[in-house]
Amino acid sequence: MPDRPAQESLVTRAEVEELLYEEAACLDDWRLDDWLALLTDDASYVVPATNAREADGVKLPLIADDIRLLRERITQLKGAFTWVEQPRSRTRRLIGNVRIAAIEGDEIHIRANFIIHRMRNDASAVYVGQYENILRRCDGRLKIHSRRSVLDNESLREHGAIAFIL
Amino acid sequence: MDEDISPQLIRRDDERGIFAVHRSVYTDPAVYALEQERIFARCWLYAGHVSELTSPGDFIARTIANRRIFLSRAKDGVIRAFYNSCTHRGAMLCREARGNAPMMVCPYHFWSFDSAGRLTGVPDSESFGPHFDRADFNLARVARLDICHGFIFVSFADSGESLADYLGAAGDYLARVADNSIAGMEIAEGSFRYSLAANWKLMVENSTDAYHVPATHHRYVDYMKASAQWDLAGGAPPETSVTPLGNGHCILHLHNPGGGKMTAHWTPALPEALKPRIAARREAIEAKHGKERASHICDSYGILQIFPNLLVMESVSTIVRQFFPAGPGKLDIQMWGLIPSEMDEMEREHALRSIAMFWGPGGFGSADDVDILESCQAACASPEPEWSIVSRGMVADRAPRFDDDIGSREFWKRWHAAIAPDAPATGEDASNLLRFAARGA
Repeated sequence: MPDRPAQESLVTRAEVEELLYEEAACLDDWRLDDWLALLTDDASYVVPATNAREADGVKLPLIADDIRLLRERITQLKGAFTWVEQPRSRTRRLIGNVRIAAIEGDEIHIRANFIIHRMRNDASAVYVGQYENILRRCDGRLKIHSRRSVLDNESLREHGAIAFIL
Repeated sequence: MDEDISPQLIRRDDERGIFAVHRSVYTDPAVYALEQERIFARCWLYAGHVSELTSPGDFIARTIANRRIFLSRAKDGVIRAFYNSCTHRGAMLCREARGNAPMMVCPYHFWSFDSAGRLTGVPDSESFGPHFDRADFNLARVARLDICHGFIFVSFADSGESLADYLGAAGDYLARVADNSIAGMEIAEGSFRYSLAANWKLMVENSTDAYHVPATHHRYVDYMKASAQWDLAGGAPPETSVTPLGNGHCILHLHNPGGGKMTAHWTPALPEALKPRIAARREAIEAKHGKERASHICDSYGILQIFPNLLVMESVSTIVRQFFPAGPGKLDIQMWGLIPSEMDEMEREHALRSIAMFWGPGGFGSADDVDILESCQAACASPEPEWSIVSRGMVADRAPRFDDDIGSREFWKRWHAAIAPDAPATGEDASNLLRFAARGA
């Protein structure tokens, strides 16, 4: 897109980090509506299966939400009948190794590592992996357009379920 | 517990409509040990699908009933099951979950085996002496392997009923699943591998229990009712029933033509873009099987329970679910998507997403089952109360319903016959149960 103003795609790692840290805080603090506001109106959220992680081809996903399902997921998490988060778990996320991998048109491809601890019912589990996200600028604000949480865990034997937003 | 623990584990009084299970069955290490010996070492167990072994040299490694095994397709085209252990000193030969290898080479001392399990290479074999015969050290075969409509089963017992006899009428339902594709069904890439801190029998009970859906899956039912899908699908499944198939197997029928089926029944609940492909598949199935059989194949939803630990679930998409106990208080579960092999990317995408949406550990359904079953396990570890009831539907004045405990009772009867072959089958000693019940209250 040659006629696009240069600053439109101009982005600094600090700005990306700020978005990721804010996102982590929203999710750990259970401010789920605030978290949704960080996404574009056509965002998607995918968690590949732990044994089929490559992006090529069609594989069985653990989670593959379009924005409609994702909003539904948040509604359910906030509701009274999502037993697996009733009572709620505690989570704590550490986000690091943030990089801007590529900029294609108005799409900013980023990578970041995550370690998420989840504690509930006197048990704990650790989710480890990498975000392969695509960001876009909407009205000057950086937002998440595509969110792919790729787990390094070889299985969910220690976790049981993915009850919260990874 | 008495020396012979098993006769007291299940109490049944048909007259009073009581079928009760002693909660120690979920927690007692002695029960777990008996199950290993009398169920998992003897029964036919699902081990894989032929679509995972299409070419000579293909292998898949599995842990079946605490046994490390692998299945492979040899040059002669035959699928065999071997213990994944070098006959020399025990190291595992298959070190990946799946792959293709013309021969298996042990990394420990470079012993090598061909795809039919024959020992073909032993470095410096002369040093094992003149009496060393390679033929004595071929890979150990799993005692029995048989295939039913693409589903590969193994048994670790040398003798016993054939797979066909073991499955009985359940085999007809595997045929129905398989007939959803002319080219053949295949296991899609990727699977759900997760565990629950719960006894495996709690998952059996859960899998054919339609009674828990409005409560455990309240959030999902709410969502479905609020979504356009619900209207398009015509609301709740109108025709439902459950049929015990004998030998611990059962089929839960969930006829819901409105919701459509990704294999071969397009309805407005499915994407318009998929209509031509799905219609074409249906036409082919009708041409092959005739209209009546095709309707049975294409329009049926069902949950097929095969004793002891396999579920094949047909709804919008088809799911294969299997789980093994990993001790009394833990189960390891794996789930796969089973789809027509001729599906293109768009169809696969939709079919597999629909599985993740409800059935996956990140879905709107199964995640809550994890929580509830783990809470059952935690509470059943208490010495009291002692009994759970599985008696829903044991009433004389109404017809059996799809959300009765018929599947669970079919399972428990078969389980009890395996665990306590000498115990009286049914009906006895209800007074004992009532005594327990009174004590519990």
